[in-house]
Amino acid sequence: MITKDNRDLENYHPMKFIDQMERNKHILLLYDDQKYANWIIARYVNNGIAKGESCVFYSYDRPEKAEKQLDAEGIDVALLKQKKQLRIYQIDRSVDKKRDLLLALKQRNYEMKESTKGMKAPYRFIGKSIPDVGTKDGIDFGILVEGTGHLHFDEFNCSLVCYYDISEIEPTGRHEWISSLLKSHHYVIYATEPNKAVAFETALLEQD
Amino acid sequence: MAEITNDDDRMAKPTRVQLRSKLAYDKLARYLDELETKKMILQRPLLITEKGKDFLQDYDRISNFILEMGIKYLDIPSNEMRGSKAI
Repeated sequence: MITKDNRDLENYHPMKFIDQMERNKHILLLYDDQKYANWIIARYVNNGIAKGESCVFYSYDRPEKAEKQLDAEGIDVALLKQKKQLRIYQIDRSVDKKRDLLLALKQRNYEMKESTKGMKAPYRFIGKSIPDVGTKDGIDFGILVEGTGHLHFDEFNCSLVCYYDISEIEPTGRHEWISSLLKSHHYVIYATEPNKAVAFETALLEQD
Repeated sequence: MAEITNDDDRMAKPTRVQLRSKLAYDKLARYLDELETKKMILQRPLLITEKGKDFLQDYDRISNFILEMGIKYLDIPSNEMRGSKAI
């Protein structure tokens, strides 16, 4: 049965862009409404599964919470987990507190390898790469990590959605953080109310 | 780019696009090169691509995104954001 919610979701503007995204891209998802962010994430996972890719959802909370969230969006988490097409992987970013770039990158590299054990490449990752965007110090470090990660992105056979709730970003660091994120991702998706939501290549914002 | 789609034929004529856009030839050539690099148009013959058509449809939303990010989230006064196309 086609419900109003299904119709709203199908008509949600960024969906066409998400369906047409090229492989192995670094994607920024900025949102001010969790509901729309969940739509985007579910579509991204579903598209990956349909293309034979393996999806890993990184979570700071207990995996059950993320499973519930994906289930609510119509993803058969139990079945996909069983088929090793989807995994919810709990991460710990306490190492970021040391503000050591090399250590932070090593940790992420280790998580990528561990979280995909037994799964088939290519991979789709979804996660809040930088946990601390509520402090200026956290943002400064996040810029370094995201920027360096993006420089080496092609070395990994994967695509990655980094999602951030705009309201959580420390106000005095927002300008620098968002500007920097737009430069260190291939695509940006703005998940907000339907008449304003948009997705596009960040290269369009580059100045001569 | 909208000038390219406005042509009556499927293929746009560069001289007509130049007239409509009121751009000097060297500037137009530079913009066309940039649009081709971004896969929005083909230059020989001058055609808009599907990606270019999608961009034209999304242009208002992208402008609004930049404006809203600036005003609502980046604390840039609205008068400073007018006409700005890039952050």
